[in-house]
Amino acid sequence: MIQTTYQETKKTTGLRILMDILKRHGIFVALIALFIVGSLISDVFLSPRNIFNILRQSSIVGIMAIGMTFVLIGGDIDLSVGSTLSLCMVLAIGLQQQGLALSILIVLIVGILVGLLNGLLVGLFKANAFIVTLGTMSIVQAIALIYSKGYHMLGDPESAFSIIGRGMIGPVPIPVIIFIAFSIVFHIILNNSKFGYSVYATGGNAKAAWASGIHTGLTKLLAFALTGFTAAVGALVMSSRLASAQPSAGQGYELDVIAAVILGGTSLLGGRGSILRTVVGALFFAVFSNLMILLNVAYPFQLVIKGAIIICAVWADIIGRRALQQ
Amino acid sequence: MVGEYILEMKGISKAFPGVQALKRVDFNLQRGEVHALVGENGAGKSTLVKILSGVYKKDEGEIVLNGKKVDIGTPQIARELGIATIYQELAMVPQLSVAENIFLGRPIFGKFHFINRTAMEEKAKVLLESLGVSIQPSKLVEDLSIGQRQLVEIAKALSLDAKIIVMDEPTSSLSQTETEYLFKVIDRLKSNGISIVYISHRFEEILNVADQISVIRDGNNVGTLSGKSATHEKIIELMVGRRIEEFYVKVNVEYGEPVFCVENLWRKGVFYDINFEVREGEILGITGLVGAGKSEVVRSIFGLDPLDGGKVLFNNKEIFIKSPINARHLGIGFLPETRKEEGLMLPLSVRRNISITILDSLCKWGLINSLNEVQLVEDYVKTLKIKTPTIEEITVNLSGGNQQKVAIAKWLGIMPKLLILDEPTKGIDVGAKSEIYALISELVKNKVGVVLVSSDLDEVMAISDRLIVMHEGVITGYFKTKEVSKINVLSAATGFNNPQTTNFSGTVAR
Repeated sequence: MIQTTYQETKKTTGLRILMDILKRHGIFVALIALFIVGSLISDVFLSPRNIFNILRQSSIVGIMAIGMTFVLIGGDIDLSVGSTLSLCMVLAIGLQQQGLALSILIVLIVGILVGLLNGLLVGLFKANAFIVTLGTMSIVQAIALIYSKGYHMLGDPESAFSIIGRGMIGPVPIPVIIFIAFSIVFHIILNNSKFGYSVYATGGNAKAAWASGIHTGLTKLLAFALTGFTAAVGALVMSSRLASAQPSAGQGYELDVIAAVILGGTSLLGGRGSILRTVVGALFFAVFSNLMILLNVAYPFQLVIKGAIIICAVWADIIGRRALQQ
Repeated sequence: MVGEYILEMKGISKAFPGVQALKRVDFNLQRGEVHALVGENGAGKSTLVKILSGVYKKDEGEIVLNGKKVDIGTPQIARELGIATIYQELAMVPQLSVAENIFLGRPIFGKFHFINRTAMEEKAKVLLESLGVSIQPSKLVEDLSIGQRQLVEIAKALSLDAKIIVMDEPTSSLSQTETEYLFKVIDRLKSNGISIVYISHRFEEILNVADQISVIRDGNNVGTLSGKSATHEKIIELMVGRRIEEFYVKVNVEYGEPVFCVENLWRKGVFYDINFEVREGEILGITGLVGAGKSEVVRSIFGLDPLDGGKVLFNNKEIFIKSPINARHLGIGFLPETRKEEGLMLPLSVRRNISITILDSLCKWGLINSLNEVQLVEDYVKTLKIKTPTIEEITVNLSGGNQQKVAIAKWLGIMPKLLILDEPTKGIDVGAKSEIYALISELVKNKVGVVLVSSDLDEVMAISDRLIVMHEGVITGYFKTKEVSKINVLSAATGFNNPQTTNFSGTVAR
């Protein structure tokens, strides 16, 4: 019955198609609109230099948001990524004397360990993700302060480590290459691996996924470990670019990261979202900040507009869900 | 007073994107009658009722109430016109008292504009007594049974001076005694001149309680029968538009080896001393009243709930299932009773719901082969006749019957040796029911052992080869379905000692 009358009653007027696209793919349209506005009001906006600048600025939040996408699709949230960023940054600078490979390895392991701790508590001990990561956010930040003794740590800008944040391959900054590579790899993992399928299932309905023989706890554990890992990679890029690390550098980053994922259209309620959307969300914020600077908008106003955009994104999430559930 | 129409709905039409839900439906309701609405899920009866209660706006047609044309734009207007609806999921605040719930949103005030609890409780008491119900008005709703809550809802409707009460599947969560009690209350309401629109899937009840029965099919009112002349067969014929013999599908299959066997299974306080075996190609029915523990047994077997002791043999080897993951790897599938909570991931697509159990076999070098996945899912959608625009449609948009088919389809992919179906036809329409029976037949032909847990006696007696009856956590009867009468089964289910119990399980039962 549904199939036969489907075409008859669904009036496919131009307006309705447009509304449909806006509801489901609003962020893509918004990003394109931002580009058009940018190119109209500023000559330098579309210059390759500015474009790569935008991409590089989006790369740290973007890399971290890739991990966060897994956690949010799985129906959880991770508030500790900002603190993990802080800790991994001070470690990356502090361990520089230990040699490049070893310091990078330790930073990555520490990031993963923080993620594993979150995942263990949330996935296997069934604790609430919001509360658990609020707790680890505080603890990990404290460890960063203890390790750095509260000092702004300076690294060696001439060391090979700086290549990660400052290097270029041709015209393309290395952070952008890492961001693109991560996007592709984790897009494939989310869309085509058993783990990715399990993440969607767990976020879609954890009880039903469990009753289908999916190890939902393990899935959550891995998603959090992945978020810890991407936070550590973000820290390597950032500390390398700055050749220094402040123990409080990551404060507030968790919100930027979550905002980028939500803005892309990944649902706070779990089960819906994609890496592509997250990439677009991260790009949107970077383009937006870039435009604000080009337009000389005062920083407090930038924050107000940014907040309004986040609220709109959550609103769009609700509308989008309704649009899907006719 | 009986004879005049209190409500006439004329030529009501309603379309939703993708579907014409109602096509010029007429529906007339007399004063003081119980008028049952029956039809498959998605036939349009809920839509009709929602138009009556102001939830949906009609596209076409008119509603005449007490001889006056009315426009029911919102639920608020419906309430003011004296039309009350009691939904399947009751809309109550559990933490408030009975009286507070009855007068929710319009409390009785006393001195200094404080809420006068005593006056509210007294008024509530009068209302409840008028229904012949004795529930303390000061009791919290969360301490009441579902049946009692429903009676409170009815009292609330009366307090709003309702003349028409719509009951949507009122007995779906009630026990036998509670149901009988509800019918007594309905009788009282009738004698007070209140009309009742009664929606139900349970034919026995409808035949018992309804004065008129209207059958809705594909958005049309295909006929109204008087309660006296209606029979089970007549209603089903109108509902499905074909004859009833085709309804229960059952094939006779030669049984093979025992595939699954449990011995002395128990879980403290829930069930004890459970023994049975299932052979290849056999359908074992488990029935009993609500609360008999039949669901609990199969949930524990599948690893969803704990077990305290006993032995489980699968292909003659002892196994220990600690979670559904073990069960799935062994080739055991389980369709849970609660489709929305455990059966399906409603926000996800049909594809993701079906492929979830077979990710391992779809994997090649760690990645899922999407082409194989789509092919497989489309095959199941085709063979199970799942009505969905595409396999990417999210399952929440499917009708109940089609959702159920998706929930079953996911277990077909693992090539199960044992499939446990817990109330597979609960809350789904007649057409989908008969398709599910056909599917079960198909499974046993392929040597799958099937455990069918069902509260629907007709169903379980028609479909299964052997039948276990449970009462309060223990097995009170083993029957061969061919040799047993409904009365034997019912007396076992209610705990009467039954001399005709045949011990079929040979070595297992003791």
